Amino acid sequence: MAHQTLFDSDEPEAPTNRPAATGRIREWVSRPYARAILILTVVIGFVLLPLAWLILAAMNQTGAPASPIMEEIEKTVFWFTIVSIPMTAFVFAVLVYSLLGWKRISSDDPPMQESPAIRTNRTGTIMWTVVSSVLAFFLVVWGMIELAAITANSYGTIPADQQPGDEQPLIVNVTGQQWVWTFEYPGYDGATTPVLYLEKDRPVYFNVTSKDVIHNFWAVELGVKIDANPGAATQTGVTPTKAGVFNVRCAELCGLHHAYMETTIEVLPKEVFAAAMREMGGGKTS
Amino acid sequence: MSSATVVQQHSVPQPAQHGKPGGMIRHFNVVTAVILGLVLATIFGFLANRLVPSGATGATFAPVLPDVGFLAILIGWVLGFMIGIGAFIGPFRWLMGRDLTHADAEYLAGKDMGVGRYFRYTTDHKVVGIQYLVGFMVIIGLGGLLAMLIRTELGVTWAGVFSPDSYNTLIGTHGIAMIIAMIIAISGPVGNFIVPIMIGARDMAFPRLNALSFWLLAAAVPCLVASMFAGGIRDGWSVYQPLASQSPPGMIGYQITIIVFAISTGIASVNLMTTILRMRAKGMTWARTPVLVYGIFGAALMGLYAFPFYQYSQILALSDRIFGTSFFNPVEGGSVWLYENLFWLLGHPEVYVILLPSIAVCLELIPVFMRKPLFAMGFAIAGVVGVVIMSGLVWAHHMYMTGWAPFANYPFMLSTEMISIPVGFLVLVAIGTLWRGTAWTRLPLMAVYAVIFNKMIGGVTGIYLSDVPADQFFHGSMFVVAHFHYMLMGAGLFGAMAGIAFYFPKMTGHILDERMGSIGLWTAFAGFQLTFGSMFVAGLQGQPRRVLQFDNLFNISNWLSTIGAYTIGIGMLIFLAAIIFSWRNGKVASGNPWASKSLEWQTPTPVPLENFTVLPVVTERPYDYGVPDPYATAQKTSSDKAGVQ
Amino acid sequence: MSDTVNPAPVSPTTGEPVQVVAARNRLGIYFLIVIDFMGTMALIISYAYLWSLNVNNGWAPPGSQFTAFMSNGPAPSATGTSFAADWPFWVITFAVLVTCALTWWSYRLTRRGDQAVATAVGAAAIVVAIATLVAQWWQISTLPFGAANGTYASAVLILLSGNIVHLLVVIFLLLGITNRVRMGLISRSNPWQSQFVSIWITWIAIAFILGAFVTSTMKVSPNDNPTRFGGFEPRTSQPSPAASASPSASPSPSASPSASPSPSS
Repeated sequence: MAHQTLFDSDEPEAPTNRPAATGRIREWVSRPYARAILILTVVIGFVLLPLAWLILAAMNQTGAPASPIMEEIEKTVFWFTIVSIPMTAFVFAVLVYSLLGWKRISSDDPPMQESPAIRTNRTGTIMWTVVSSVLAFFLVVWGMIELAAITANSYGTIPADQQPGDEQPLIVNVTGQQWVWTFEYPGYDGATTPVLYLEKDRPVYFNVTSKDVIHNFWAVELGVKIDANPGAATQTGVTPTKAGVFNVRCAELCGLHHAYMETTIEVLPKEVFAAAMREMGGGKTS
Repeated sequence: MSSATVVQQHSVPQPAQHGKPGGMIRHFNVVTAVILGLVLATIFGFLANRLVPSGATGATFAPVLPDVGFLAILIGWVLGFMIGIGAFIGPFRWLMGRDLTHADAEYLAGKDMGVGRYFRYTTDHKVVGIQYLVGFMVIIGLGGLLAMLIRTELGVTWAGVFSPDSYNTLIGTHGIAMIIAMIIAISGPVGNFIVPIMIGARDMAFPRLNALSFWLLAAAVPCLVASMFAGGIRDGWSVYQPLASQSPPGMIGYQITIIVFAISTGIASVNLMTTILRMRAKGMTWARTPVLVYGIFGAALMGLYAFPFYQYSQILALSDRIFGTSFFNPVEGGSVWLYENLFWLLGHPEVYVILLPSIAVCLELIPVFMRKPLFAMGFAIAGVVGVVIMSGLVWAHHMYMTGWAPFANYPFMLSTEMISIPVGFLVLVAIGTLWRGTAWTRLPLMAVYAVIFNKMIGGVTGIYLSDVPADQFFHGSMFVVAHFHYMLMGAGLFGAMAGIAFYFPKMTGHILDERMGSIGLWTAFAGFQLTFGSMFVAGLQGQPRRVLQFDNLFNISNWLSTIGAYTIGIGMLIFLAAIIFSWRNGKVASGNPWASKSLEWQTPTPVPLENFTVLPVVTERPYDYGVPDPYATAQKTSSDKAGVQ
Repeated sequence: MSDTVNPAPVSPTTGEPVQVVAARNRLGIYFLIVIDFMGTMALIISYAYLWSLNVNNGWAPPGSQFTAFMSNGPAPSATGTSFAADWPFWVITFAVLVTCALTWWSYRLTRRGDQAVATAVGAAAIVVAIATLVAQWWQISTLPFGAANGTYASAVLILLSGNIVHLLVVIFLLLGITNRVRMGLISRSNPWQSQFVSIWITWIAIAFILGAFVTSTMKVSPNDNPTRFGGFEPRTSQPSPAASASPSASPSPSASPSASPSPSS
């Protein structure tokens, strides 16, 4: 059978009385190269470790996180970096050691010397499979939980008017068209602004659509992103928790002036927001 | 020919020889193809000009003539080119019942024809492989030039080198040119030249389809170039609708290119798969089949089922444009999500169509240079099979943020993150084979180190993007651009460089210049890290992709990116110079300069027509290198002793 | 392979036994069918997707459901009729099935060595195929809508255009194979090409059945309250279970925008 030869190991049949697992591990670690690779892995791992914070520092340059969603995103990015460092460090350590540690030949002619014929290694392959599966499982579980969390924080499964809390959520109709964003506030007499005004700590729901081509509504520091599709309305939402001025960019190529299709978000305290809305012509608060 | 000395009871009617061997096809070559292509393009363009009333407008009040005229010109070009190269002679002869004689077939394969066979409808798989290699280098040169121009614009934003239209055209054309180049990068040259020899066949299963697949590609790429002179492709390589419907007629160039290229890829896939399934040498069981063959087979299989979706998405878009249908026009009932789904149904398998052959060629050459067998070949095969199966189930991770079906994000996140397991198997096999080996640090092996390094970075950044919450920040940003360049260029293109360097002696008869090639490789590698490392930073800071102007915040990372891009350009030019120099007057290679044990290196160089005088019989597993593991024998003897005591 | 039939006839071009060449070619035909199947599926998915979404109420051709939303769309056609009639689809499909049966019959006759009858049957298949092509053209030219009359019209027309291309390929193959049977190139000892053509036409017949099936089962869109283009009008009613004429009007599982919660209502 072909399958048998495929997965057969070339190793000699394992004797029934192999040394105990601990003994075998001790024997393996006692090999010089094994110890060197482990040390190298740890060193490379610690060299890579600061990346976890540097990545967040780059993301936070313009004031993020300004919402619980963005906090969840940054937490995800941080932990994904942390869990992927050991595996990356191990692979890099093997790369480095295989060039510098084990033998190396750089002649023009094929080397006469042959290397050990390791066709497979049950322990190694099982460990790799288990570790990578556990990591993938972790990613999936983490991703599912976080996705459920940000879903609950955005468009959610709960209709806007049934949200807990004494305050009605703010509803904003976002319309993309080449190459401007328009924000309409149906709760404020349909006041319309080119800059997105939000109220601090008040949930906001976005209905997003487009009048021509596909745009992508990206409120960068709030961690909100959804396509503005022509012929369909998409929903998302967020609760801004930080007052300040943030960015809206278009994250989907939308033609000639795609690069300039950006505007600002002003997250204002409650009174200032009400005043701003009155100024825009939306006197009635809902 | 094979020694078929059987007594023929039922005789098959022998075809008559009409004229000289080859018949009509003797009169056709690439010159007649170009001439006939241009003539027919002119005639079609003229007819369109006469038949469409001047000033006619379509449903959107846009003038009809430019679109119809450009379409007619391109159809004329493709038809004329294919007639001129002689592609229609085969079907015609079949229809008339004039089958090929053996002499005809040998003429078609380019027997005793000299250099001229590279400029004809030649069916020999080695000729097609070389044609693909040159085609690949030409297309990637075009795409690379456009990349330099893009980075020029982004590096000196204060200068405003290009208008927004030209800039968008650069992006779109760069994208699709590079995608086409990378799809053929290994499956073309290595798949056509090496795989039949590797499995012990005399030629591909369908030699004439093989020639057809290359010449269709040759007909398609000029359409892409022509589109740049008809307003360009301004909508990225994904040409999302309905934005693409606003584009000038250049978009039709894209659509025709894709429609023709998809046919080319489809028949190339059929050919490769049939060859691999039916024409392996006696004794080459699946366990004795080298891993490169699995990789190419997997890529061909994905191309087979995925490309029709891409092709039909472009056919529907073309129909919207020319006939006024409304598949993707939301005002009249079309759906943009339909386009995105059709497009990404190809779009993601296509990534693996590029990656799998690249990784497989790396796995194929590591054992040769480490002088040890491939580690855990079963895992390599499981990895290939897993990627092929799962690649069809992950397409919607490109659509997490489109809002088309929020609840579909859960299953697609699951499948996307699960695909890291089979891809991880391939990494395991690579580093397991490096493990404890004696590295013969020649250029091909060094390129493999570059590939594994880039593959790890691409893979790790991929897990952020596979996760919906993190993707909510990264989608559509420069982070994505850096990630897929690490995959498609860092792993794909560097893998192609490894494969070309490895098979160069067999394909050209010369050794690729080690020194010059290494300088090129490492210059490009260093530039690559700088370019796309900085691009990651720009993405983290929040720069959207495909913009030509940006906030001052992103200046530093973009300047660094541009410097890196020029460095890549210089490195690639050096590598190209190494290829050209070595091809013309490099060191002459022996039949087996790497002392490899696999079948393709046992043939003489240059490989004779029909490859083998006697078809080989395979009796061993591949990668039979190495000496018994000293540790394992030590362990065995010690445990034996333990058993005795 | 080679030991199944004792001395196998040898292909004149490559010198291999014809069974070996035939097995290879048959596999190639199957792969080509996979490609064409995927392409046809792309059209059918497009049809079903647009049917289920009914974006901007643009699915139905004018005349059947002319609504206010259509007023900025294409002008209604003069005839004011609606969906295409079912019976032409099925008649044409039946004709293709007849062609398919004739082709298989011709192959059987070739295997039996009955060259003259096989040629005659092949000729009959050509006549039926050409008649089918004419009928297909007649159906397209008499449809009560044009390409620009909404997505139903687009989807049906592209399916029928696909049929035309399929029929042209079939006619080419039938002409070639019948000519070759007549010349004796396809004979008892090497009948395989005739079999390949039959396999291909069988797939074509399946494609026709698929096309006829979707066009006659999916007509009135299940989404009768679609999103309006470019606006946020609050929806007046909940999407009701799909109505009336369509025999199988269960909503497609693919996401329709009306199914997602609407905060503005």
